[in-house]
Formats: sequence, C-alpha cells, structure tokens
Amino acid sequence: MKIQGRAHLLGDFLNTDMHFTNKYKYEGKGVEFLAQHVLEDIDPHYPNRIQSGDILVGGTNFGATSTREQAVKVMRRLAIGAVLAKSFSRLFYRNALNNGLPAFQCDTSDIKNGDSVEIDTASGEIVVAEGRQIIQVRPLPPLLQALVSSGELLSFVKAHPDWR
Amino acid sequence: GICHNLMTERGHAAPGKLVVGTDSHSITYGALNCFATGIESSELVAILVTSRLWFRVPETIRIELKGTLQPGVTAKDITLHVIERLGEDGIAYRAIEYSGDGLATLEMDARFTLCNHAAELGAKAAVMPYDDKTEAWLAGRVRGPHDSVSADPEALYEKTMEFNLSSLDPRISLPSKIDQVAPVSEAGGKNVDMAFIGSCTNGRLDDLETAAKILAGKRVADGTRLLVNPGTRAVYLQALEAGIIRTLTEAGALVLPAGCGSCVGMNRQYVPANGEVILSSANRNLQGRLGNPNADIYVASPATVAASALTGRITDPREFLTGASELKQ
Repeated sequence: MKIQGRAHLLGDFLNTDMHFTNKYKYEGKGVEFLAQHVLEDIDPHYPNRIQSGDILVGGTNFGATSTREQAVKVMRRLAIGAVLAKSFSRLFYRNALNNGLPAFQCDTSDIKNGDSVEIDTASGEIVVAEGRQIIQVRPLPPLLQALVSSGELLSFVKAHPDWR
Repeated sequence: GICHNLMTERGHAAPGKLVVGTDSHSITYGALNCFATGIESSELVAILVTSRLWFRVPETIRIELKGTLQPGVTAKDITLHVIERLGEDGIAYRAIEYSGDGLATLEMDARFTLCNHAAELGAKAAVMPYDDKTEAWLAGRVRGPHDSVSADPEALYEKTMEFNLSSLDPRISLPSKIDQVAPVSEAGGKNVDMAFIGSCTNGRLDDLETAAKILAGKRVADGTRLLVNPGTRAVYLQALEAGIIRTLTEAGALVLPAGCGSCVGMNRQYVPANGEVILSSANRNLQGRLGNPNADIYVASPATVAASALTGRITDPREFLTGASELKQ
C-alpha cells in the first residue's frame, strides 16, 4: 500500500494532550468537536492548517503522556495519512496501529514542512521531497499491515479470531 | 486492595509469563521474572476473545545494581535516583532488565517498588531475575507450572547502566514533575500539611513496617495529617497482627481501608485544601492528582514521609533510622 501526503511538522515534546486540546478531554466531546479544536492551545488557527492526507512528522517520544485513543481517533477524523517520528511513546504507538493510523519510527531530522512524503508500507521505503531523501524503515509484518488497514483492532479480531 | 498488589500477592503473575493489565503500573509484576506491561481496554477485550495480542519487541536496557542500601535509604530512593538520572520517559518503549549483586540484596517488596516506578520512565516492561527470594515469594501463591527465564549470555542490550546502592541518599521529587528530584536533605524544612503512605509503589508490608519504626511511641506533628492506605486487605491484616496498625494509630495516623486511596485522589473526604503541601509515597506528582490543583505534591519514600509527618516538615529519614538493624526485613 502506498501512502502519499504533505509533511506537517510538529516539534519534540508535543504530547497528545497538547495536540488535541486537553481542556475538552473530560467533557465527553465527540471526535468531530475535538477535530475542530485540534492544537488550538498552541495556535488558534491550527485547526485550519492541517489538511486531509497530511503526514504528521514528530520528534522524540511522540504521543507521550497520553493514554487515550481519542488523539488517534481525532487524527483519523482529520484524515491524517500517517505519523513519522524519531521515537514513539509505547501507548501512542499501540493506539495508532490499533486504530488504523500507520506509524513509522525513523530519523525525521531532515524532513521539512511541506515536503511531499510517499510511504510504501510493503517495502518500508519512504521517499521525501520526490527523492531528495530516501528513508528505509523496517516494514510492519503482513499481519500488522492488515491490522492497520482494517482500521480497528476489535473489527480485525472479529474478522480474524485466530489472528491470521 | 490495589489491583497490582493483588496480582503479585495472589500468584497471577509468575516467572516466564507474558502478563498484561489495563494500567501502566502493571509493569510491577516484572519483579517476578515475567514480562508485564500495560494495555488498553480494547486490547484486553481482544485477549479475552482470542487469548492473544500483538507486540513490538522493545530494545532492552540493562540496569545493574551494585552495593547495598544504607540505613534510611530504600527502594523508592533508588527509583528516584534512576528517574533523576534518566528523566521522565527516559527509557520510553524499552524493556529494563535489572541485574547485579545489589539487586540480590533487595527483598520482594523492594523489588516491586523498583519495577513499579519504571512506569514513569516510559518503560515497556521491567524484568528481574529469578532467585531464592522470588522462589520464596511464589511458594504457596502460584498454581500451575512455570519456568524461570534468564538472559542469554550473548544477549544484546541497547545500553547498560550501573547504580551503586551504597552511595545513594534519600531523594524527593518536587512539584509537579516526577523527574524534578533533589536530595531530601536539600529540600528539607518545607511544612507538610498532608502525608500519605500507600499506593502500588509503596503500600506493602515493609513500607508500613518502616513507618511504624519511625513513629513508634511518638506523635505525628500538629497540623500534619498522616494518611495510610495499606495496599491490600492481606497486608492490612498482617500489619494488624504485627501491631503496626496500632503503632501508627497511636501515633495519630489515619489508617484507611486497603486501596489506591490518596495516590490518585480516591480518599474523597481527604482532598487537600488550597495552598496545602502534600508529601506522598506514590508514583506521580502531577498538579491536581489528589483532587485539588491548588496543592503541591512531593513524592518520596515511606521512610521520608513518616519522618516528615513526625516533624511536620520535609525531613531526612536518616535522622530516625541510624542503624542497619532498624531496617531489618
């Protein structure tokens, strides 16, 4: 499967509470509402700057301190194509793969905001800015590629109760 | 009682097993020579239905412990030293493998504390070796077969780190980040309004025992409330048998039922007031954790908490625990 999108850079130390508006966390707001308010604590105009298909690019420990699936669900609602980061917090990584958001760990230092990013999930090859940089990641095993494609862990498990 | 303490008390975690729980402090069980980690509720449902789950195998960091803890210095002080050195989430998504002669000197209660607090390092799991202390703990608790595991001689580690237990001193985590750690001796003097002993980090028998040693025959300072939540009903009853509950009560401590209690603000009748200072033996000090964002939370060992409850100010427990015999297990 090929994922294509525009790189949208987030910095180091951004955790999903900040990403997706901590102040609404306990109000039981739906994913629709949260998507409209994404990152507004940083920049009130942020919700308008993320475009469908964007590839989020983060630094170290991306997704830290958030144990909630909401952040990933909001990213999916915004049709974010994938997340690239130097490293992920273990909870965010699992939430991503369990909720259909492809996530890849790689050195993102040389990716610039707005670069085109093309990810071949079968080979693990990531082409940045039409070839200015090629990053090779270890592709997910086919089982996990299928999990991510299914979009949701429990749907996947219902369809494949023996994990095949 | 607290789920994590029950998991290890009742033999649900055993050597060689892959154990999960829907809380980050499930990492505690690794002290029993298993791979234990926290997962989400939906993942637990997947396991209930299929008995399986996918995992990314983490890189391993080896932490070697040497020497022995000096009087007044406890397992919680080890964890605070490690967190200070590595930072919050400093070992994110790695497995920790503890080893060393120093580890062998630690009793199981201390080992549970060590593995428990690794959650704040962002670790995936914290695995300890199997030895005679592990075996003694498991006797009578675990049903069914289990096989201990140990590292292959040629195992690869991302990094190896060493901590010399003999050189450690009591530490305290300052509000409101767990890795803002200072020596207790330097943070001393601050008035403590509420002191808490308990939690999955430090609500075990040795923690209550240590507090009782410090408070025996003495009284908690005026103006300081000392709350104690034993980790489980079994620990509560053992403490009752041993006279610990009496000692704490006579000293003026409020001994509450077994459970998470004030660690995470569950003692709703004891939410701190505005401007109060809390000294807790739990694992996190995020603003508002005890139910009032206008109260500062410090985190330290039960020994430090008990000593501070006695004087009414943050106090180095070594003032009251001077001889090795006082910390005899």
